[in-house]
Order: sequence, then C-alpha cells, then structure tokens
Amino acid sequence: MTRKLPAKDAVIIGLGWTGSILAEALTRAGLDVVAIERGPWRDTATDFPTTYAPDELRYRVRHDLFLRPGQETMTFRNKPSQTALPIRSWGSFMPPNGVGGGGVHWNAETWRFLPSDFELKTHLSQRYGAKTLPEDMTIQDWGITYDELEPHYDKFEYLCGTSGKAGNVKGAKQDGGNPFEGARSREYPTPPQKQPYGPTLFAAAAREMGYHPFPQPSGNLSQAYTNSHGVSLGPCTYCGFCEWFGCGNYSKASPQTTLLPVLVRRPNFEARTLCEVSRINLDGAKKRATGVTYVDSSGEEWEQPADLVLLCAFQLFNVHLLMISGVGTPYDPNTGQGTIGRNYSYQVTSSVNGFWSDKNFNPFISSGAIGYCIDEFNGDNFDHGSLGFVGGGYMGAVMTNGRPILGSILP
Amino acid sequence: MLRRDLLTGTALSLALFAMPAGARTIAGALPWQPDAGTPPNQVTPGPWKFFTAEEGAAIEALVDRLIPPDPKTPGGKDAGCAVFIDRQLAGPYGSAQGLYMRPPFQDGTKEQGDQSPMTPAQRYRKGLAALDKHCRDAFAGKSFAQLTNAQKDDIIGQLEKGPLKLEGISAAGFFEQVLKNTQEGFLADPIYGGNRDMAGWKMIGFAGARYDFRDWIDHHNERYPLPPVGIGGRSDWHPA
Repeated sequence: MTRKLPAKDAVIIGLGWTGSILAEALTRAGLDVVAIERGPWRDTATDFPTTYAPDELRYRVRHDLFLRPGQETMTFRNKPSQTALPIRSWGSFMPPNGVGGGGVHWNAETWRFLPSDFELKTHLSQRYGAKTLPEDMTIQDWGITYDELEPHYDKFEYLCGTSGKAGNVKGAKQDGGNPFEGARSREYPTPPQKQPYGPTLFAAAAREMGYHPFPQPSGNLSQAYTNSHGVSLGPCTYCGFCEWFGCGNYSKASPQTTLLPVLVRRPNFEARTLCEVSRINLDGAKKRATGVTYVDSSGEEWEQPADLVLLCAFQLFNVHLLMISGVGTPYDPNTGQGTIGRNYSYQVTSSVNGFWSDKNFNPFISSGAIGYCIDEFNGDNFDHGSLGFVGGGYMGAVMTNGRPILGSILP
Repeated sequence: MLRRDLLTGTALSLALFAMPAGARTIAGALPWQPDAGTPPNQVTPGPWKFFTAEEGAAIEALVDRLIPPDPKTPGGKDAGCAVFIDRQLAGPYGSAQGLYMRPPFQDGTKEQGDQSPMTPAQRYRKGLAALDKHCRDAFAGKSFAQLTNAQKDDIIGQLEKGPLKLEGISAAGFFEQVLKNTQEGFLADPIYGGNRDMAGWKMIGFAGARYDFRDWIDHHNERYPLPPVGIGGRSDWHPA
C-alpha cells in the first residue's frame, strides 16, 4: 500500500550537485523542499576520512562508493543489431550513489564550454557553409548563449573556490590563461595549483612551439577558501586519490564541502536517503507533474506530492524515469523522432603514455585536475575547412595519480 | 561489513515518519555520530578461510610463478598474495556481493563484459579442482604444487594461451582471474593480507597512504625520500 505524505513545494530527485544547488536556491526563496536520494548520506569525516580514504582496492577496484549493479543496473549494447545484456559489474562507466552524487568522486576538472559550443550549428554553418554538416547529424544550438550562462559559471566557480588562471577577463586577454576561452567577469577565486614535473615539461615544449599552455582549472584547491555561503574548504595535499575517491581533506569541491552544511540547517529543507523514486506522478491530462512515488530501503512505498518536480539524477536515470512515467516521446534513432534520450553522449578522452628512463616524475604526487593544457585544437579554435571533420578537444599533460594496482604502466 | 547507513536514524535526524531499515530523513543538522566510520579490518595470519589445504598449496605455487622472487623482492607467496586471495574469496568479493548476478545469462561481446553466472569463489573452486585433475593425470599423480618450476610455467602458459582445457571453466578466464587477483594482492594496501611489508610498493617506488605531499610537489625530478606507509601504519611502528 502506498502511503501519501503531506505535500511539499518542491521535490528533488537525487541530491548531487544539481540537486544541492537547486535546493539551496529554492529554500532561500522560501520554498519547502524535500530531496529524495537513492543512496546513503555521505559525510567526509565518516565515509572517507584521511586515515583510510587512500585505499585503491576498496574504492577504485571494488567500487565501494558507487551504485551496486545488484541494486540497479542497465543493459548495454554498442549497436541496435546486438542483443543488449546486463552490465554486471561496472567498467569505465561507474554511476555514483548517495548524497553528493558524482561530486563526491569527480576529479573536479572545472571547464567552461567555448562560446561557439553553444551555437554550434549556426556557427559551423556560417563559417564553413550550410552543407558542411550532413543532414543526419544531430548537432544543434543549445538555445542559450555563453554570455547568458556566464554569470552562472562564475557563481559555480565561486561556490567551489576553483583554482585557475583566467585567459580573458571582460574581453581583455590575460597572460598565462587560456586565450581561447569566453570572456569571464573576473579572475578565478583561487590561483592555480602547483604543478608536478611532467606537466611543466609539456608546458615548456608547448610554449616553444608557439602554443599557449595554461593550468587546468581545478576544483582541488590551491589554498584554503571560504565560499559565498561561508563554507570553508582546505588546501589540496596532492594525495593522488581523487577520481573515484572521496576527499578526506575537504579540499575537493563537492556538495559536502560547499553547500550541504548550510542547506541542512534550513528549516524548510529535508533529505530522505536510501529512498528511490520509482515514478513521476502526473495529473489526469498527463500534462503536469504532481509529485513522485518512491520506495524506501525496507520496500515501503510512499507518495510525495509537490508543486515542482526536479529531475536531478544522472542523465541516464532522469531519462529512464521520464520514460517509465510516460513523460514525452522517447528518441527513436531510426526515425530521428522524439526528444527523451536524444543526443545522450558519454565523455571520451584518449591518451598516450610517455616513458622516460632518466627522469623521476613521482606520479603519485598529483591531484584530480592538475596539469597544463592547450586549447589550440579544441572546438572550432582552428580552421576545419579542408579537414573533413568538425570539433576537437584540449590537449594536455594531465597526470591524476600513480596508484599501483590500475595505474602501473610498464614500457 | 556493517555500513553506517544501515543503522536507523541518529539523535540528530528528525524522523517525521517511521522509516525502518536504513531509509531516513535528515533535517536540521548534519547527521554525525561517533565511531560510525567503516575502516577496513586488518587481515590476520592463520589458517585458510576459504581454501582447503590442497587449494592453498596450489594457489601459493601459482602466485609464486606469476610473481617469482628475486634477490631484492619476495615472490607472490612470501608477499602474501595467496593469503590476500583467500581472505578476499571468504568475504563479499568472493560471493560477488553487490554485482548483478541474475539471469539472463548469455555470452555477449567483449564490450559487454563478463556474463558468467559464477562468483569468484566458484571460479577458484572449479578452476583449482580442474587444474589439480589435469596435473595428476598428466604428471603421474602429482599436484600442481609438486611440479618443477619449468613444468608449472608451461602449465600457466597453456592456461593463458591454450591448448590446455579445464573441465567446467574456461582456462583463459581462470588464468585471467588468478593473475588479476595476484596483482591486486601484490599492490593493494597491506591491510588486506598481501603486499607484505609493502614489498610491492617498495619495488615500484609508491609512497602509499601518506595523503600529504605538499612538501614535495615542488621537488621536480627528485625521488620522494620517505618509505611507504600503509593504512595500518608500518611494521616497524609495531614491534613484535
């Protein structure tokens, strides 16, 4: 039997980065907010203290902080002609679980998109001609511009205390930063992190070749920082256990280190953990969400009515929830119709490894977002005229760890 | 391992509705209680917890050929790799806890990952039994552990690349499983029973669980000067 709870102004599905940020804004505006989170509460001192956070086997190899496939998984195939099979154990794709979401285990690389990324179809058509993009390519403009989003990028970076060097402040180019970036309203809140040896070699070589290396923007902080909410972060200690790990030093920007201490003290906020939303409820006309139904870890089902329903889980789970709730039209790759699930993509990076027998890099001394990068080959920062492709990526000497089990690379 | 979140609500959380067995409401303050963390338990020496005596002898022989001892570094056996594997198989890893282990079971592409219904513990039990049978048939009643190093290496090579076939389990799959767990045992924190005296870390120059390198980030191209340390400290901190 489903038990109905008293109505709230807003229900948030998933208490990670987006859920925490929206909960903060809505509770500040006076709304009564409940966040429903599939995983457990996670707290720095209890869940990833410095005394045992640096445990590669437990966190990286055995996935201790992640969603367990036995709890929830998905099927997978590379193309429609194959039979989709269950993901039994995570590979490169590891969905997080619990309060803080991906903010707990991310590397905290804190990039902004390039201005042209927001109007990609228009930009590419204007620069290379309307026929450059094949008809079946789904690239489109975002519908908002970089300039419209800039204040929000700025706000997020000042929430996190992001460490970096601006390359463009209000249109004025800055030495040492990324000359290709969109205009920022101000410098980064904290200076760049110190760099290990390897990236400095890359930067020197890049400079010699006429490129413009800049330190990767990092949510692992170069120094202590107190953010706009009065929450303080500590300096990163270059421990080398960042991505896939929680930070024991309060020095990686996460909901835990930037927002939650303020949020939980607000009387109009509450979080329910180990509770999984099973569907979004709709009104009779199926035009308006009226709340959610969720199941707690004992199997009990609850209905939480709310005026606003915010989907703040990872995109795959948001899409799944929309589909099983009968919202919108699922994307069909054969016809190109439908928007639910359209254009989903996963981050891809490619890398080459260098080996020097006469140099000592101490690769275990690193942070999640460290290194020097160049942006000359990113987006449309170079002429694609005769190349037969569009897009690109940053290049950099980026070394996030020297952990022994999965990080040992032999020549 | 009992996780903190399996406990019912703390004094700090104001439960509006009774939500037993884990689910809880958090409001008013950050939930915190003393001693709620879940540090790993130090693996203790002693008898096998998963392996039989014969299986244990075979695994010790296997890990010691995958990582043979040399004058500077102990081999897989003395580094504790077999103890590591035994304790892992006796725990949640051995029973594939948390993994998706329900049907449908059918072979897929390499990208779709392992689709076998067998847990790691079952793979070892089957694989070691099949290996034992093969050795006793082929070497006049001798077990794998009783073979010469050259014979062992030949068998291991055949497990990896054929043509040796094992009864009831893929030989290559079994080889891959043992190799992976041996590497883990050699290089994981010593608290799990392998990497004894941090032999694996010393060999590759890994500093371990120190967690603070602010004093060395600027020392470019200079070897880090301090010896490694594990989550449980170092053996010379706890004299016997």
